[in-house]
Amino acid sequence: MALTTFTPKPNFDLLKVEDVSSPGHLACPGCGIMPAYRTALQVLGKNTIIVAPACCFAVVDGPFPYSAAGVPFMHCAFETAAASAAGVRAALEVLGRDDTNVVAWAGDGGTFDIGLQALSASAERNEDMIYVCYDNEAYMNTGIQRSSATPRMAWTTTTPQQAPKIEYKKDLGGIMAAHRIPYFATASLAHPEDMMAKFRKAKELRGFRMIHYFCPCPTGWKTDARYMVKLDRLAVQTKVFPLYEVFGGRRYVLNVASEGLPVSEYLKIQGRFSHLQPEDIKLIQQEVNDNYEELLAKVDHSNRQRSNDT
Amino acid sequence: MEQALREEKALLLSGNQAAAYGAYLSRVQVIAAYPITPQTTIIETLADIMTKADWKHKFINVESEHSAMACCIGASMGGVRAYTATSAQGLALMHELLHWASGARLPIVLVNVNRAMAPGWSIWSDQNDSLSQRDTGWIQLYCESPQEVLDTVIQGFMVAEKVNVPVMVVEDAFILSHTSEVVELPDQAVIDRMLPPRAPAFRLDMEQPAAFGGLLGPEYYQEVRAKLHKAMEEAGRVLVNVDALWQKNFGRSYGIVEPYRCEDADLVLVTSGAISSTSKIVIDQLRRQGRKIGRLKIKLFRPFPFQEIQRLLGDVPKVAIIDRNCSYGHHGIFFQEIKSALYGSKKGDRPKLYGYILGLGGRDVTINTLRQVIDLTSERDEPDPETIWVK
Amino acid sequence: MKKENGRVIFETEDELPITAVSSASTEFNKTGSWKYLEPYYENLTPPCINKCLTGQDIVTQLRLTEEGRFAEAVQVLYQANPFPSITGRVCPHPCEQPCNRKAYGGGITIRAIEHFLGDYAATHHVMPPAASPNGKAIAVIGSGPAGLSAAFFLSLLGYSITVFEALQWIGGLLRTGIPSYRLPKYVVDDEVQKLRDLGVQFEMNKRMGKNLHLSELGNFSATLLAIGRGASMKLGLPAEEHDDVWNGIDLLQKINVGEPLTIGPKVVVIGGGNTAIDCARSLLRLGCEPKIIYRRTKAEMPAFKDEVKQTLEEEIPIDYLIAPMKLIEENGKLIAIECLKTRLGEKDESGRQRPVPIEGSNFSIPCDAVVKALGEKLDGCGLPETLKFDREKIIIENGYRTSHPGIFSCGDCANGEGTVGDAIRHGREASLAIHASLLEMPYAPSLIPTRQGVNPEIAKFKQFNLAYFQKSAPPTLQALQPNERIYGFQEIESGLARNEAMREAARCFKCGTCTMCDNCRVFCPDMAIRPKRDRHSYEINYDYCKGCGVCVEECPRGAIHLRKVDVGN
Repeated sequence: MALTTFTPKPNFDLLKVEDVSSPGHLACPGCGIMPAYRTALQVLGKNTIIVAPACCFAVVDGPFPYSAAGVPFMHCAFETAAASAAGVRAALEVLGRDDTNVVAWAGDGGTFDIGLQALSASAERNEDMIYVCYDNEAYMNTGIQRSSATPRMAWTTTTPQQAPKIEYKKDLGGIMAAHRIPYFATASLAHPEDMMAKFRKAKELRGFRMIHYFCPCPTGWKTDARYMVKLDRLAVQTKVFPLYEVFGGRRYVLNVASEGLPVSEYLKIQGRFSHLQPEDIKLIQQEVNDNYEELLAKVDHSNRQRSNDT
Repeated sequence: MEQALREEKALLLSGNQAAAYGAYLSRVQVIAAYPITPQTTIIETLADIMTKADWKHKFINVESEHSAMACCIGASMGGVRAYTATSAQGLALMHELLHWASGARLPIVLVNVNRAMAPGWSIWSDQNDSLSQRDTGWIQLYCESPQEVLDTVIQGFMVAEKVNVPVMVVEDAFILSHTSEVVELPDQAVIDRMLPPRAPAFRLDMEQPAAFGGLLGPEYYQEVRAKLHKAMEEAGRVLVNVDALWQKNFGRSYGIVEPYRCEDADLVLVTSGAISSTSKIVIDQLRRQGRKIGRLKIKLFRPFPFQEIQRLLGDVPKVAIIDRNCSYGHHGIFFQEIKSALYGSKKGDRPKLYGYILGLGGRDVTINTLRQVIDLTSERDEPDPETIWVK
Repeated sequence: MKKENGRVIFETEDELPITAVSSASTEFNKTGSWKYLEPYYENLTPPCINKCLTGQDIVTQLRLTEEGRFAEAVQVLYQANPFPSITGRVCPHPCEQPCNRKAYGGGITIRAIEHFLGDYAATHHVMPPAASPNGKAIAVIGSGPAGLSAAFFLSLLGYSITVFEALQWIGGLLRTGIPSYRLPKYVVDDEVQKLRDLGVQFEMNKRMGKNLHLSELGNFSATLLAIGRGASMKLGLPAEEHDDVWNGIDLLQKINVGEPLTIGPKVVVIGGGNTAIDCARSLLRLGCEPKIIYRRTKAEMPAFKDEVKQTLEEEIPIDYLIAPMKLIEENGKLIAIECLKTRLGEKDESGRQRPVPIEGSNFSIPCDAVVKALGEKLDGCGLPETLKFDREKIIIENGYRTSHPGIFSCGDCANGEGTVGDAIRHGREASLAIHASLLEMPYAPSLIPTRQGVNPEIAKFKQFNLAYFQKSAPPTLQALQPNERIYGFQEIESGLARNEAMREAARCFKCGTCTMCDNCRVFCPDMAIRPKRDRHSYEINYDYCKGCGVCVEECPRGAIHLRKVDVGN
């Protein structure tokens, strides 16, 4: 019987381009670094230079003489991502290669902690770069030690269950907004289109641009590798990591309205929170709600400012 | 000279200004610097004169010396000529990055204005800051005049870019940095011939993407580091050639070491930096008195000029070594270095080495101080087991 | 420096770079060795497809419909069902019953989409790809859904087909049985025209054993009997042959072909099947006052549930647990029917409880006419003696063969299940059986080609990742209100608009079926997933897959699974 063959249209709109990076890299199973790196590079293209300090990514890329990155990749001292990238940018400027994307790609330790000084300075000088902080909420490369990006009550090897971290996670968005940088955005693996759009915006703008990517780390968060995307999705849905943008340090835009799932949905699949008591979860829920309210207030304020302007 | 000044072929420049002009004449492309006394006038002068530069360049006012070096590393990795200057605490803050620069084999030139380390705060000269960076894999060149500073900055780039090792040019705080003298400006066209635009051995290149500085396993690390060591050795030979070229083009030569009236001397004073100038006066005075005394200035500290030391000091009965620094719990650092260079240099008698530490924290080193050193040396048949701290 | 399997080997120290410059790819590093679990793609069976009477690839149809590729969706339909405009209206759509979407906003209205696609096919003349004639001819006896279905598929196989029909109308029950408010006649006309366009010949008024004999069919390579069940079951009561006592299918035929009719006004319809329902509702539309009596309860009624519901909406009384006992005449005219009440007793062989008359519960229902709609059986008159059959069906063996060489049979007459959908499937399978037989190949029950390699396991709701679906309700189907519809035979349901059909198709989960949504590829941390060259599916590069399982977790519809890897010790 003559039967028709047909081709259902594959949904290739999302990522059409060939991968720049190579497999064989050294990321743990279920690590969020490479999916985000791929997404970024698909938008940014091969005319990109990566500057990475000490962090998981520095290992993930591969040992000498191998590299998975597919584009020029400069390893730099732990605390110097933003400064080194500024130097690279200066060289490109001098050589007339303004079209090249300079991307600092650093972990939370290299951003929130040891690299904050250089970061602040580069942001203040409005250095022309995209700074990506992949935030896996602890020093994962050294084996899960607390950083200032570690959330309250989380277990790490330096904040054991008997004495979990009691301090707040640093508000990176607030810090960067206070620098009045042209663009700051949070990004989640569970929203790849949103992430791509943000890299696209970042690519089109000039000056200091930052993407704060919530990078799932099944190894450090003590959860199943298959939950990589789920963790990011739940973080957005529970308002733990809302997706927003800040333009010029003042205009806030909320990209994905969080559904307001209880934080317990997010916490319960992670071993690093397994010691939490109901009252701890309540405390975390309160903090998450407060942060989100504050963000919404900033968004509202921005909207009012805009409607006043027009 | 007046003619030269009128034609602006020579200028009245402090050591710091000379350091800035040296960078300018080297057509540096990226400068990243952070102010620290006594380096500040270098970057102030540069900020001013670079406005006249007709080539693409960028001056980055960073927030720390640490970031200054990080920027230079980034820029140098990007393939351009990078320059910075600092002093004391600033250099110490750069320490980790100094390793990064040499390990990455980047031809960065840094001018360090020798200043004593805190605490207590001191802004005045001594060499502990730069000598503390002895093992970072940087070529170190100690200067004794603003003219030498200017020339050495340019020579530094010539050497650095030849051997892919960074260069630290060192001058004394205030004594050189803030003291002006007439400095001849080498002809830019000649410099351009000697120091063409940088052609990097490797750089961050979109056409040939590679990762730089990734994990280097035990199976490779040592061999790769051995290459840095070899390049260091090569640097000494390259500097000799560069110096010869300088002599030919500009009539000035410094050598990697500079002996002064050392032939037939039975006592040689070893100096570095600005003291070397003062010492020449002392030598002249004593020679007039008929004393057979010479002086050896060490310009190149890294790589250490073993052969020159052995050749020039091997047969001298007494060597008095002046250290404006101290390796606490050991001796002065030049003392140690010379001692190790002479050990095993030949059979039989070796020179007797007398170590003196003086001028720390900017204390004036006068003609009298140096005569005291010579007298102390002459008086003793055998050196004291301990280094003598001279007031 | 040399490379071995992508691994860089420095043969001398001189070959080492002066600093750690890494320009070789990490691809040499086969990280696949890390895994102890590995994902694999395998489509599961969507519950709708499992239940489809004709065996359609519903999910593929909906995928194409979602993209507005209606003609292609129709082509997929044609692989199993030539007459979507008919089944889209009259099929009881058992496919919708197990729909996984029910738990997430409401099941997919699969039949309504089929209705839309059928109408699209008719209005846009979507034809299946023409076959080149193979020079052989086949006779199809009977032009009901089974016969027409077989005619369609056999002509796609290159046969020239002649359909012989006993009546003067083509379509069998499609034309004479199903009322126009369910299946307008123009729909049947359009489908018949499609067959004519395919080259199918029709000969009307040819009844087996009367003016059509086997000897006349010698020129045909094979004959397919699809004559349906034309004989009505009898009440077994005296006066059953009275003029006011009607056979349901005869009554429906008269109404459907528009013959003049005198009946009623009070009509008692006996039976609980679709014929009873169709008769009662048709009579209502002709101005009669029908009443249905049924000897069991509503739960046992074989009529389609939706039909019963609509009947009740139209306020036609249905009285249950009543068995007719006697037809009461007065002056040659029927005036009432005497009945007994029943109760449900033991289960019979059909699994339903047998109605047991209650002695002494006699009562009469006044009426002007009675319609018997007790079910139909095979009308064996005219069948050749060489053909084995009983009162129910023609006996067929594997491959739709009858006892008579060269004669095949399918549809209701050959123990079909009684729905149009079943008849269509029979028609398709019989045509493939005939084809196999003529090629002297063994007959294998047909599978839809696109569903081959699919795991028969039914995809379950709990296997899906709901993050990728919005909870949303099906569209409201536009239908005439009861008071609007009972005055004529206008079609009750008007079907979906183009956009509604697309939206509704998009709402489908595509249970257990890879739709190339690309999640797995986008999220794979190891770049181990890529589309196959055919772009119909993905392949996993197990050299690099670390077995994290993210693809499995993020597959919206349960088309990727994990299995253990033998890692030895």
